[in-house]
Parts: sequence; C-alpha cells; structure tokens
Amino acid sequence: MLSVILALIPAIALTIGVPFANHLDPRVAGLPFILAYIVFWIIVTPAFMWAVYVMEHGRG
Amino acid sequence: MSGTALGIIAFILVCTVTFGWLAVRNVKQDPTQYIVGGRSLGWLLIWLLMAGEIYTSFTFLGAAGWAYIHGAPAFYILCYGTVAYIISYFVLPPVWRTAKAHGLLTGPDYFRQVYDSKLLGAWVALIGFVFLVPYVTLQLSGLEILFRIAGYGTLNSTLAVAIAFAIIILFVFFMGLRGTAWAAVIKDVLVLLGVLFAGLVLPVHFFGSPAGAINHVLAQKPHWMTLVGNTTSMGTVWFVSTVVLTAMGFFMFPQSMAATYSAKSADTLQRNAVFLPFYQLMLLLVYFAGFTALVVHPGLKGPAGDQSFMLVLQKYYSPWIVGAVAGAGCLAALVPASAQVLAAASLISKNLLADYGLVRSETAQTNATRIFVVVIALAAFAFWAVARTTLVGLLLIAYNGITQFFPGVVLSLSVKTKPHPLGVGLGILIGIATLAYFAATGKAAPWGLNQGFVALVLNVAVLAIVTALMRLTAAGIRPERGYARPATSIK
Repeated sequence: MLSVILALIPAIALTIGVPFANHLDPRVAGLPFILAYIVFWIIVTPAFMWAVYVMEHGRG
Repeated sequence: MSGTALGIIAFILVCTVTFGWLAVRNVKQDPTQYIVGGRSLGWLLIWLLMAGEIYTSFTFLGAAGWAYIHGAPAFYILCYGTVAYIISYFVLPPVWRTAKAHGLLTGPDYFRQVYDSKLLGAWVALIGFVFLVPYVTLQLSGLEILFRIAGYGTLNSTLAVAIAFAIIILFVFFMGLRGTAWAAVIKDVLVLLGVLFAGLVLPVHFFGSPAGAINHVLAQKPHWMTLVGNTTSMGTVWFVSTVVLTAMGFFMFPQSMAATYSAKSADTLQRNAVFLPFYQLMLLLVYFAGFTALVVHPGLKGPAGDQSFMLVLQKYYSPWIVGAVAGAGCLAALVPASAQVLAAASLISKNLLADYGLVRSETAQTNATRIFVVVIALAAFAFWAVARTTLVGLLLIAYNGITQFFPGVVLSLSVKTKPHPLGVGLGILIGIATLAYFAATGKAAPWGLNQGFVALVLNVAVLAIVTALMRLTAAGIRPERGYARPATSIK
C-alpha cells in the first residue's frame, strides 16, 4: 500500500500538479517555472520508483 | 544541393539496410551469438540505445513542431511518458506473466486469453489495426517532410510521400522485425546526434544558449511558455486530461504489448520503469530546437510547423548537415513504422484470420501478414491525403482510440475487479462511437477536456453497467449457494 502511495506522488505531481505550477517566474536556469517544475519531477521520479522497487524486492 | 542531401540520406538508408541484413543473416547461423552479443554491449551503448528508443518522427519533428506552433501544450509530452512508466511498473509484470504462461503473441491475444473470448480478441485486433493507421501516417508524413526539405524544392509533396510509402514497404519486406531491431542501433546513435545538433548547436549559434532562445521567444510572445486558462482548446484541463489519457495508452499499442511480451523477465520491466523517465529529458533539446526555429524562421502555420528546425538547417547550414540530420530523421520514421506496420498486419492475420481457422498453415499466415502490411500502408497513405494535421495531432488520434483498451487490461488484473467480456467490448464500442461523434460534428469536448478522455470515461461507465447487469442475471439464473447445497445433500 505504501509503495502505491509513493508511486502516486510523482504521478499526481505530473498530472493535476502541473496547473498549479503554471507560471513563467521564477525562472530556473533560464527555463520557465512550469518547465523547470516538470523537469524537476521527472528527475526525482526514478528515486520514488526505486524506493518502491526496494520495498517490494529488497536491495538485491 | 538537393543531390548532396538526398545522396546522404540514400547512403544512410542503404548502410542501415545492409547492416540489418548482415545481422539477420548472422542470426540464422548462430542465435546464441546474437543474444550474448546483445548482452555484452557497454553501458554507454545501452544508454544510447534506450535514449534513442523514444525518438520517432513524433519526437524528432513533431515535438519541435508543437513547441513552435502551440508552445507550452507541447510540455505534455514530457509528462505523459514519465507517468506511463510509473503505471507500467504495476501493470506490465502481471501482463507479462500471463503472456508467458500462455505463449501469447499479439496485444489482442491478452484479451482473448483472460476473458476467454475469441470474439473480444478479434474486436480488439480490428480497433487496434484501425488506430495504428494514423500512427503509420505520422511516420509517412515525417518522411515526406524530410525528403522535401532535403530535395531543396526539387521534390513536390506527392512525389515525396510516394517515395516514403515505397521505402516503408521495402524496409518491412526486406528487413522484417529482426533486421529492424538491428537497424535500431544505427538509428538510435544517429538520431541522438541529430537531436543534440538541433537542440544545442542551433540555439547556441543564434542566441548564445538555449535560455537565450527562450528569452527571444518570450520577448515576442510573452504567453508562449505557460498554459492559458481552461477556456481555450489547450488549457490546463486539456493538459491534465491529455497526460492521463496518453499515459494510460502508452503501453496499449499492439507493438508495445508485443515488446512487453519479449522482455526477459517481469523484473526487467520494473527496472526499466524505474529508470526510463531520465530519458524523457532529451525532449528538452527538441523543444529548444522548436523555440529557436520560431524566432529564426517565423510564420509557419499548422502542419507546416513540423518542418520548423529542418527549415532552419536548410537555410543556414550546408547540404551535408541537412542530409545527415534528415537521414537520422528518416531512420527515426522507418524503424518504428516497420514495427507498427508488422504489428498491425499480424493483428489481422493472427486474431481475425488464424484464430477463426480462415488461414491454417504458417505459410498462409505469413502471406496474409504480407498482404496486410501493404493494406495498412495504403490506408496510411489515404489518411495522409485526407487528414492534414500536425504530427502530434496524428499521434493524439491514435491514442484516443488505443487507450480505450486500458480499462479492459487494468481491471483484468484482479479477480474482484475483472469485468464481463461483453462489458469490455461494448465499453470500447461506446468509446470509439464517442470519438466518431466528436470527429463528425467537429464539436469540442466539455470543460476543455481531451476528447479521448471523455470517450474513456463513457467507456468505463458502460463497462461497469454491463458487468453489473451480467452479474445480476447470472445470479438470478443460478441458484444461490445456500439453496443449492441442501438440495444436493438430500440426494
């Protein structure tokens, strides 16, 4: 159950979360905020999914 | 100039086909070598391979085209792939186990197996075939654009698309699926180089950096990088519903289901799902290329936007570079087109003809597949002539239809939620009917939603109602357990 919640966090951030980040400013590394927000969540998604994987299978 | 650029494209295509043919010839002699050879590739090549997997004409030209024509709505492409990988982590392993246990081959085979219904399998195969047509059209349009630009005005649109059509057919017949897999190696390396060039060299050349390109766009169009309200056709509601719809449809395509079956293990699928989101980031470069083109070569409208950065290359760079990037782009169209065309044709030959005993021998089935390769290519050709829309627009049409399979797959994973096959089939029917209604009337979906999303909601509603009704009638006919037991125990 916890693993599903962990996976839901980035999934929600990249769907219904996006309209809340629909701004131009502050710019991050030249990117509009909305694009930087999406890029941020794409970069951290593997961390969430890796945690899900480890919870299900263990480290090996 | 046209001779140089077209010559380079021809050279790249001939080299790729030769490489694929040699690799396939090797396979017949020694299959183990083929597999072990695949496993001994270094991490860098593996990374290149996986990064390149994502690039088809859709990402190569289409994503840049949408950044050029629409701006921020194009960002949906970054989101949906990532959400699709998250969904795939949970959905694909059980699908893979079913496929392995029962030796499934095609996407519709899954429906036939879990719902124990040949008819449902055939129905899903038919809809899958129909909605692969716009996807093949997408690759065909991509090729047409690349040939026309590399031709520097010597090729008109009809001639370019006729050449593209012929090359797709030749590619599929000559290479088959195995040769295509090897052609993918060359494709992935070349496409990655092409994207790096278009997404980094172009903005640096004209504006000093990608951020410079973004600043120039914003100076001219201040609202380009944000989604405008939910009153327009592509506002925030459209964005969210499109990401949800396409993320669900991502792995429902027949060629993706087939690829899932071919995985080594369920664990491979999950490990891939964990790390694949990183590769989505390459799309940023494609957006940069589109933004650069918007400032350097403004004024393209509608589908013409798909040519965005290729026109910049044509205008400011040597034919050698145009030919090399266009050649990479051609492979990005041909390799996926080959897989899609073969997958579509095998749906018909397997789930409609072989399952119903209309073709019996393996040779007859192979011949039928060949015929339907030509049929779907012709259908894509016809669709290209009728529906002049952007590459991303074409992909969204395909997704609207294919995603209608998602409820039937995901709900089948648990005994508690498993719907009745009639509900699944009628749900898909109402989904497709909804899409047809929107297409025929030209009406927009309510509240700024994506049309396919509305179709999906109605699909699930019908699925739930029919399943509930079938359970009720089944309960009414069969005696209750409490009744039945004493009756039998009297005997």
